[in-house]
Amino acid sequence: MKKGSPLNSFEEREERLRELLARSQAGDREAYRTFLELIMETLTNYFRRSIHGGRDADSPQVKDLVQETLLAIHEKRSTFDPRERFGPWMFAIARYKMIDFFRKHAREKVAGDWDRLEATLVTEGDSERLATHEDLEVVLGYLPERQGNILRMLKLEGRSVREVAEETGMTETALKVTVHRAMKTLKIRLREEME
Amino acid sequence: MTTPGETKPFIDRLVDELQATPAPPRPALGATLWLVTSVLTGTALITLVHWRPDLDAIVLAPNHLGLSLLLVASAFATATLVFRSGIPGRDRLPASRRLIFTIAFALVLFFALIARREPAGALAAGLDPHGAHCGLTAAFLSLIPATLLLLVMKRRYAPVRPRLTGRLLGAAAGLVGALLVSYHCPSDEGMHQLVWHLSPVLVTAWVFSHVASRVLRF
Repeated sequence: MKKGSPLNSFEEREERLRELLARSQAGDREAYRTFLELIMETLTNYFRRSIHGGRDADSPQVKDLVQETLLAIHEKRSTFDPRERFGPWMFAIARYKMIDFFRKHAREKVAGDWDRLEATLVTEGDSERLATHEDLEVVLGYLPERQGNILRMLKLEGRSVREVAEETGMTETALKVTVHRAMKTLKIRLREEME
Repeated sequence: MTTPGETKPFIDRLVDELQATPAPPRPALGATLWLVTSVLTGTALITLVHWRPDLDAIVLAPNHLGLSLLLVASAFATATLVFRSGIPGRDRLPASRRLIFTIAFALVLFFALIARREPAGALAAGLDPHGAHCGLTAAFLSLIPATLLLLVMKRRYAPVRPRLTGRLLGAAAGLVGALLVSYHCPSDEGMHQLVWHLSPVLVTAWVFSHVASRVLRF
Protein backbone atom coordinates (compact mmCIF):
# COMPACT_ATOMS: atom_id res chain seq x y z
CA MET A 1 0.00 0.00 0.00
CA LYS A 2 1.43 3.36 -1.03
CA LYS A 3 1.84 5.98 1.65
CA GLY A 4 -0.94 8.56 1.46
CA SER A 5 -3.36 6.24 -0.31
CA PRO A 6 -6.95 6.37 1.01
CA LEU A 7 -6.68 3.10 2.93
CA ASN A 8 -3.45 4.22 4.55
CA SER A 9 -4.96 7.52 5.59
CA PHE A 10 -8.00 5.66 6.90
CA GLU A 11 -5.76 3.48 9.03
CA GLU A 12 -3.99 6.52 10.35
CA ARG A 13 -7.33 8.13 11.08
CA GLU A 14 -8.53 5.01 12.85
CA GLU A 15 -5.36 4.88 14.93
CA ARG A 16 -5.82 8.53 15.85
CA LEU A 17 -9.47 7.97 16.82
CA ARG A 18 -8.54 4.93 18.87
CA GLU A 19 -5.93 6.91 20.74
CA LEU A 20 -8.29 9.86 21.29
CA LEU A 21 -11.06 7.65 22.64
CA ALA A 22 -8.62 5.85 24.93
CA ARG A 23 -7.58 9.24 26.35
CA SER A 24 -11.24 10.26 26.61
CA GLN A 25 -12.00 7.14 28.61
CA ALA A 26 -9.41 8.39 31.09
CA GLY A 27 -11.26 11.73 31.31
CA ASP A 28 -9.27 13.91 28.86
CA ARG A 29 -11.84 16.49 27.68
CA GLU A 30 -9.74 18.07 24.95
CA ALA A 31 -9.10 14.67 23.39
CA TYR A 32 -12.80 13.93 23.66
CA ARG A 33 -13.81 17.13 21.90
CA THR A 34 -11.42 16.42 19.02
CA PHE A 35 -12.68 12.84 18.89
CA LEU A 36 -16.34 13.90 18.68
CA GLU A 37 -15.63 16.46 15.97
CA LEU A 38 -13.74 13.91 13.91
CA ILE A 39 -16.33 11.17 14.11
CA MET A 40 -19.19 13.60 13.51
CA GLU A 41 -17.88 14.17 10.01
CA THR A 42 -17.46 10.45 9.36
CA LEU A 43 -20.93 9.66 10.69
CA THR A 44 -22.56 12.42 8.64
CA ASN A 45 -21.02 11.00 5.46
CA TYR A 46 -21.96 7.46 6.45
CA PHE A 47 -25.62 8.22 7.14
CA ARG A 48 -25.92 10.54 4.15
CA ARG A 49 -24.79 7.74 1.88
CA SER A 50 -26.84 5.07 3.59
CA ILE A 51 -30.09 7.01 3.70
CA HIS A 52 -29.94 9.40 0.78
CA GLY A 53 -27.45 7.72 -1.53
CA GLY A 54 -24.92 10.49 -0.90
CA ARG A 55 -27.25 13.42 -1.54
CA ASP A 56 -28.94 15.85 0.81
CA ALA A 57 -26.25 16.53 3.37
CA ASP A 58 -28.55 18.83 5.34
CA SER A 59 -31.28 16.25 5.79
CA PRO A 60 -32.85 16.45 9.28
CA GLN A 61 -32.86 12.63 9.46
CA VAL A 62 -29.10 12.56 8.96
CA LYS A 63 -28.61 15.21 11.64
CA ASP A 64 -30.88 13.33 14.05
CA LEU A 65 -29.06 10.08 13.40
CA VAL A 66 -25.65 11.70 13.88
CA GLN A 67 -26.74 13.19 17.20
CA GLU A 68 -28.34 9.95 18.37
CA THR A 69 -25.21 8.01 17.44
CA LEU A 70 -22.92 10.52 19.16
CA LEU A 71 -25.08 10.23 22.26
CA ALA A 72 -24.96 6.42 22.11
CA ILE A 73 -21.19 6.49 21.66
CA HIS A 74 -20.96 8.89 24.61
CA GLU A 75 -23.06 6.65 26.85
CA LYS A 76 -21.40 3.41 25.81
CA ARG A 77 -17.82 4.63 25.38
CA SER A 78 -16.62 2.38 28.18
CA THR A 79 -17.36 -0.69 26.04
CA PHE A 80 -14.55 0.21 23.65
CA ASP A 81 -11.41 -1.75 24.31
CA PRO A 82 -8.40 0.34 23.18
CA ARG A 83 -6.62 -2.88 22.25
CA GLU A 84 -9.26 -3.54 19.59
CA ARG A 85 -9.90 -1.74 16.30
CA PHE A 86 -12.00 1.38 16.51
CA GLY A 87 -13.82 1.20 13.14
CA PRO A 88 -15.87 -1.98 13.74
CA TRP A 89 -16.91 -0.66 17.17
CA MET A 90 -18.12 2.70 15.92
CA PHE A 91 -19.81 1.38 12.77
CA ALA A 92 -21.58 -1.35 14.74
CA ILE A 93 -23.18 1.39 16.88
CA ALA A 94 -23.89 3.56 13.83
CA ARG A 95 -25.50 0.65 12.02
CA TYR A 96 -27.55 -0.20 15.12
CA LYS A 97 -28.84 3.37 15.32
CA MET A 98 -29.63 3.36 11.61
CA ILE A 99 -31.58 0.11 11.87
CA ASP A 100 -33.39 1.54 14.87
CA PHE A 101 -34.16 4.61 12.79
CA PHE A 102 -35.60 2.50 9.97
CA ARG A 103 -37.58 0.45 12.44
CA LYS A 104 -39.09 3.51 14.07
CA HIS A 105 -39.73 5.64 11.03
CA ALA A 106 -40.17 3.55 7.94
CA ARG A 107 -40.85 -0.13 8.48
CA GLU A 108 -42.83 -0.28 5.25
CA LYS A 109 -39.94 1.19 3.31
CA VAL A 110 -37.45 -1.53 4.20
CA ALA A 111 -37.08 -2.76 0.65
CA GLY A 112 -36.40 0.71 -0.71
CA ASP A 113 -34.01 1.53 2.08
CA TRP A 114 -32.23 -1.74 1.51
CA ASP A 115 -31.73 -0.79 -2.12
CA ARG A 116 -30.18 2.46 -0.96
CA LEU A 117 -27.94 0.60 1.47
CA GLU A 118 -26.93 -1.70 -1.34
CA ALA A 119 -26.18 1.37 -3.46
CA THR A 120 -23.82 2.64 -0.78
CA LEU A 121 -21.85 -0.56 -1.02
CA VAL A 122 -20.72 0.30 -4.54
CA THR A 123 -20.16 4.00 -3.92
CA GLU A 124 -16.75 5.33 -4.83
CA GLY A 125 -15.08 7.86 -2.57
CA ASP A 126 -12.28 8.17 -0.09
CA SER A 127 -12.83 8.04 3.64
CA GLU A 128 -16.55 7.43 3.26
CA ARG A 129 -15.88 4.56 0.94
CA LEU A 130 -13.61 3.10 3.54
CA ALA A 131 -16.24 3.66 6.17
CA THR A 132 -18.61 1.72 4.00
CA HIS A 133 -15.88 -0.87 3.50
CA GLU A 134 -15.96 -1.52 7.23
CA ASP A 135 -19.71 -1.83 7.22
CA LEU A 136 -19.69 -4.07 4.18
CA GLU A 137 -17.25 -6.39 5.89
CA VAL A 138 -19.69 -6.65 8.79
CA VAL A 139 -22.59 -7.32 6.43
CA LEU A 140 -20.66 -9.86 4.36
CA GLY A 141 -19.93 -11.81 7.52
CA TYR A 142 -23.56 -12.95 7.46
CA LEU A 143 -22.97 -14.91 4.27
CA PRO A 144 -21.29 -18.23 3.52
CA GLU A 145 -17.66 -17.67 2.55
CA ARG A 146 -18.15 -18.30 -1.17
CA GLN A 147 -21.08 -15.89 -1.49
CA GLY A 148 -19.27 -13.30 0.62
CA ASN A 149 -16.16 -13.50 -1.58
CA ILE A 150 -18.21 -13.08 -4.75
CA LEU A 151 -20.03 -10.02 -3.38
CA ARG A 152 -16.74 -8.60 -2.14
CA MET A 153 -15.20 -8.90 -5.61
CA LEU A 154 -18.24 -7.43 -7.35
CA LYS A 155 -19.34 -4.71 -4.94
CA LEU A 156 -16.18 -3.72 -3.15
CA GLU A 157 -13.46 -4.29 -5.70
CA GLY A 158 -15.72 -3.18 -8.55
CA ARG A 159 -14.87 -6.11 -10.80
CA SER A 160 -17.12 -7.12 -13.67
CA VAL A 161 -19.39 -10.14 -13.66
CA ARG A 162 -17.30 -11.72 -16.41
CA GLU A 163 -14.03 -11.30 -14.48
CA VAL A 164 -15.48 -12.78 -11.32
CA ALA A 165 -17.11 -15.62 -13.25
CA GLU A 166 -13.77 -16.51 -14.82
CA GLU A 167 -11.95 -16.38 -11.51
CA THR A 168 -14.50 -18.49 -9.67
CA GLY A 169 -15.00 -20.92 -12.54
CA MET A 170 -18.74 -20.25 -12.68
CA THR A 171 -20.92 -19.31 -15.61
CA GLU A 172 -22.16 -15.72 -15.63
CA THR A 173 -25.73 -16.95 -15.15
CA ALA A 174 -24.76 -19.07 -12.14
CA LEU A 175 -22.85 -16.12 -10.72
CA LYS A 176 -25.86 -13.83 -11.06
CA VAL A 177 -28.04 -16.42 -9.37
CA THR A 178 -25.52 -16.65 -6.50
CA VAL A 179 -25.47 -12.85 -6.15
CA HIS A 180 -29.27 -12.77 -6.16
CA ARG A 181 -29.39 -15.40 -3.40
CA ALA A 182 -26.74 -13.61 -1.39
CA MET A 183 -28.63 -10.32 -1.57
CA LYS A 184 -31.82 -12.09 -0.58
CA THR A 185 -30.09 -13.63 2.44
CA LEU A 186 -28.74 -10.24 3.47
CA LYS A 187 -32.15 -8.66 3.07
CA ILE A 188 -33.68 -11.27 5.36
CA ARG A 189 -30.93 -10.77 7.93
CA LEU A 190 -31.44 -7.01 7.89
CA ARG A 191 -35.16 -7.44 8.37
CA GLU A 192 -34.56 -9.87 11.24
CA GLU A 193 -32.33 -7.35 12.96
CA MET A 194 -34.95 -4.67 12.56
CA GLU A 195 -37.52 -6.75 14.42
CA MET B 1 -11.90 20.87 12.13
CA THR B 2 -14.94 23.12 12.38
CA THR B 3 -18.16 22.21 14.10
CA PRO B 4 -21.44 23.42 12.60
CA GLY B 5 -22.95 26.08 14.86
CA GLU B 6 -26.04 24.09 15.80
CA THR B 7 -24.01 21.00 16.75
CA LYS B 8 -21.48 22.82 18.91
CA PRO B 9 -23.72 23.11 22.00
CA PHE B 10 -24.46 19.40 21.72
CA ILE B 11 -20.79 18.49 21.62
CA ASP B 12 -20.08 20.97 24.43
CA ARG B 13 -22.69 19.19 26.55
CA LEU B 14 -21.17 15.78 25.90
CA VAL B 15 -17.69 17.07 26.70
CA ASP B 16 -18.95 18.67 29.93
CA GLU B 17 -20.49 15.36 30.99
CA LEU B 18 -17.28 13.43 30.37
CA GLN B 19 -15.94 11.42 33.26
CA ALA B 20 -13.32 8.70 33.40
CA THR B 21 -15.04 5.38 32.75
CA PRO B 22 -13.75 2.01 33.87
CA ALA B 23 -13.84 -0.67 31.19
CA PRO B 24 -16.33 -3.48 31.78
CA PRO B 25 -14.80 -6.86 32.62
CA ARG B 26 -13.59 -9.08 29.80
CA PRO B 27 -16.17 -11.65 28.63
CA ALA B 28 -14.61 -14.65 30.37
CA LEU B 29 -14.25 -12.78 33.68
CA GLY B 30 -17.79 -11.39 33.41
CA ALA B 31 -19.16 -14.87 32.71
CA THR B 32 -17.27 -16.33 35.67
CA LEU B 33 -18.53 -13.66 38.08
CA TRP B 34 -22.08 -14.07 36.81
CA LEU B 35 -21.96 -17.85 37.07
CA VAL B 36 -20.61 -17.82 40.63
CA THR B 37 -23.22 -15.24 41.72
CA SER B 38 -26.03 -17.16 40.03
CA VAL B 39 -25.05 -20.50 41.55
CA LEU B 40 -24.70 -18.97 45.03
CA THR B 41 -28.10 -17.28 44.75
CA GLY B 42 -29.70 -20.46 43.43
CA THR B 43 -28.08 -22.49 46.20
CA ALA B 44 -29.59 -20.13 48.77
CA LEU B 45 -33.01 -20.52 47.15
CA ILE B 46 -32.83 -24.32 47.14
CA THR B 47 -31.77 -24.25 50.79
CA LEU B 48 -34.94 -22.33 51.56
CA VAL B 49 -37.02 -25.09 49.94
CA HIS B 50 -35.21 -28.43 50.15
CA TRP B 51 -32.29 -30.32 48.65
CA ARG B 52 -32.84 -33.74 47.18
CA PRO B 53 -32.82 -36.41 49.94
CA ASP B 54 -29.95 -38.45 48.48
CA LEU B 55 -27.68 -35.43 47.95
CA ASP B 56 -24.65 -36.97 49.70
CA ALA B 57 -24.85 -40.08 47.53
CA ILE B 58 -25.24 -38.38 44.15
CA VAL B 59 -22.83 -35.46 44.40
CA LEU B 60 -19.89 -37.54 43.28
CA ALA B 61 -21.82 -40.13 41.25
CA PRO B 62 -20.31 -40.20 37.73
CA ASN B 63 -23.57 -39.45 35.89
CA HIS B 64 -24.54 -36.55 38.11
CA LEU B 65 -21.05 -35.14 38.31
CA GLY B 66 -20.70 -35.41 34.52
CA LEU B 67 -24.02 -33.67 33.98
CA SER B 68 -23.14 -30.90 36.45
CA LEU B 69 -19.79 -30.26 34.79
CA LEU B 70 -21.40 -30.27 31.36
CA LEU B 71 -24.05 -27.78 32.44
CA VAL B 72 -21.51 -25.51 34.15
CA ALA B 73 -19.29 -25.53 31.05
CA SER B 74 -22.29 -24.88 28.78
CA ALA B 75 -23.60 -22.03 30.95
CA PHE B 76 -20.14 -20.48 31.13
CA ALA B 77 -19.59 -20.72 27.35
CA THR B 78 -23.03 -19.27 26.60
CA ALA B 79 -22.56 -16.45 29.13
CA THR B 80 -19.21 -15.62 27.52
CA LEU B 81 -21.08 -15.20 24.23
CA VAL B 82 -23.58 -12.93 26.00
CA PHE B 83 -20.78 -10.68 27.22
CA ARG B 84 -19.17 -10.66 23.79
CA SER B 85 -22.49 -9.78 22.18
CA GLY B 86 -22.61 -6.72 24.43
CA ILE B 87 -19.51 -5.22 22.83
CA PRO B 88 -20.20 -3.45 19.52
CA GLY B 89 -18.07 -4.78 16.70
CA ARG B 90 -17.57 -8.09 18.47
CA ASP B 91 -21.23 -9.02 18.36
CA ARG B 92 -21.16 -11.12 15.20
CA LEU B 93 -19.93 -14.12 17.11
CA PRO B 94 -18.75 -16.13 14.12
CA ALA B 95 -18.18 -19.15 16.31
CA SER B 96 -21.40 -18.83 18.27
CA ARG B 97 -23.51 -21.11 16.12
CA ARG B 98 -20.87 -23.81 16.16
CA LEU B 99 -20.54 -23.47 19.92
CA ILE B 100 -24.29 -23.60 20.50
CA PHE B 101 -24.67 -26.64 18.26
CA THR B 102 -21.77 -28.29 20.09
CA ILE B 103 -23.37 -27.60 23.47
CA ALA B 104 -26.78 -28.85 22.33
CA PHE B 105 -25.20 -31.93 20.74
CA ALA B 106 -23.15 -32.71 23.88
CA LEU B 107 -26.21 -32.41 26.13
CA VAL B 108 -28.46 -34.54 23.92
CA LEU B 109 -25.71 -37.13 23.50
CA PHE B 110 -25.21 -37.23 27.25
CA PHE B 111 -28.88 -37.88 27.90
CA ALA B 112 -29.13 -40.36 25.04
CA LEU B 113 -26.30 -42.35 26.60
CA ILE B 114 -27.99 -42.29 30.00
CA ALA B 115 -31.38 -43.20 28.52
CA ARG B 116 -29.85 -46.14 26.64
CA ARG B 117 -28.81 -47.79 29.90
CA GLU B 118 -32.20 -47.34 31.47
CA PRO B 119 -34.99 -49.94 31.28
CA ALA B 120 -37.59 -49.37 28.54
CA GLY B 121 -40.26 -48.24 31.01
CA ALA B 122 -38.05 -45.41 32.27
CA LEU B 123 -38.38 -43.57 28.98
CA ALA B 124 -42.16 -43.39 29.23
CA ALA B 125 -41.95 -42.56 32.95
CA GLY B 126 -39.65 -39.68 32.08
CA LEU B 127 -42.43 -38.09 30.06
CA ASP B 128 -44.87 -38.19 32.98
CA PRO B 129 -46.59 -34.77 33.14
CA HIS B 130 -45.97 -34.68 36.88
CA GLY B 131 -42.45 -33.70 35.90
CA ALA B 132 -43.82 -30.30 34.91
CA HIS B 133 -43.13 -29.26 38.51
CA CYS B 134 -39.42 -29.65 37.74
CA GLY B 135 -39.83 -27.61 34.55
CA LEU B 136 -41.43 -24.76 36.49
CA THR B 137 -38.77 -24.96 39.21
CA ALA B 138 -35.98 -24.85 36.62
CA ALA B 139 -37.59 -21.85 34.92
CA PHE B 140 -38.05 -20.13 38.29
CA LEU B 141 -34.43 -20.77 39.29
CA SER B 142 -33.26 -19.26 36.00
CA LEU B 143 -35.16 -16.00 36.55
CA ILE B 144 -32.61 -14.40 38.89
CA PRO B 145 -29.56 -15.30 36.74
CA ALA B 146 -31.36 -14.01 33.62
CA THR B 147 -32.44 -10.77 35.28
CA LEU B 148 -28.96 -10.25 36.66
CA LEU B 149 -27.41 -10.67 33.23
CA LEU B 150 -30.06 -8.44 31.67
CA LEU B 151 -29.27 -5.66 34.13
CA VAL B 152 -25.53 -5.99 33.58
CA MET B 153 -26.06 -5.80 29.82
CA LYS B 154 -28.32 -2.77 30.18
CA ARG B 155 -26.02 -0.83 32.48
CA ARG B 156 -22.51 -1.71 31.39
CA TYR B 157 -22.67 -3.01 27.83
CA ALA B 158 -24.01 -1.98 24.43
CA PRO B 159 -25.74 -4.93 22.80
CA VAL B 160 -26.32 -3.90 19.19
CA ARG B 161 -28.24 -7.13 18.56
CA PRO B 162 -30.52 -7.17 21.61
CA ARG B 163 -32.64 -10.09 20.45
CA LEU B 164 -29.56 -12.30 20.04
CA THR B 165 -28.19 -11.16 23.38
CA GLY B 166 -31.54 -11.93 25.01
CA ARG B 167 -31.72 -15.37 23.44
CA LEU B 168 -28.22 -16.19 24.64
CA LEU B 169 -28.74 -14.84 28.13
CA GLY B 170 -32.01 -16.73 28.44
CA ALA B 171 -30.24 -19.93 27.40
CA ALA B 172 -27.34 -19.33 29.81
CA ALA B 173 -29.75 -18.69 32.67
CA GLY B 174 -31.83 -21.73 31.69
CA LEU B 175 -28.72 -23.90 31.87
CA VAL B 176 -28.03 -22.61 35.39
CA GLY B 177 -31.66 -23.41 36.24
CA ALA B 178 -31.18 -26.96 34.90
CA LEU B 179 -28.03 -27.34 36.97
CA LEU B 180 -29.69 -26.16 40.17
CA VAL B 181 -32.86 -28.20 39.73
CA SER B 182 -30.78 -31.37 39.41
CA TYR B 183 -29.84 -30.85 43.09
CA HIS B 184 -33.48 -30.35 44.03
CA CYS B 185 -35.24 -33.09 42.04
CA PRO B 186 -34.61 -36.70 43.18
CA SER B 187 -35.05 -38.18 39.68
CA ASP B 188 -31.98 -39.22 37.71
CA GLU B 189 -33.86 -40.61 34.72
CA GLY B 190 -32.32 -39.36 31.50
CA MET B 191 -35.60 -38.69 29.72
CA HIS B 192 -37.05 -36.85 32.73
CA GLN B 193 -33.99 -34.62 32.94
CA LEU B 194 -33.94 -33.98 29.21
CA VAL B 195 -37.64 -33.09 29.01
CA TRP B 196 -38.30 -31.37 32.32
CA HIS B 197 -34.93 -29.97 33.38
CA LEU B 198 -33.42 -28.96 30.06
CA SER B 199 -36.36 -28.00 27.88
CA PRO B 200 -37.01 -24.85 29.97
CA VAL B 201 -33.76 -23.59 28.42
CA LEU B 202 -35.63 -23.19 25.14
CA VAL B 203 -38.47 -21.39 26.90
CA THR B 204 -36.22 -18.96 28.78
CA ALA B 205 -34.23 -18.30 25.58
CA TRP B 206 -37.45 -17.48 23.73
CA VAL B 207 -38.91 -15.35 26.52
CA PHE B 208 -35.74 -13.34 27.09
CA SER B 209 -35.16 -12.75 23.39
CA HIS B 210 -38.44 -10.82 23.46
CA VAL B 211 -37.75 -9.14 26.79
CA ALA B 212 -34.27 -8.07 25.71
CA SER B 213 -35.46 -6.68 22.39
CA ARG B 214 -37.46 -4.16 24.41
CA VAL B 215 -35.27 -3.64 27.47
CA LEU B 216 -31.80 -3.54 25.95
CA ARG B 217 -32.33 -0.64 23.57
CA PHE B 218 -29.96 2.29 23.93
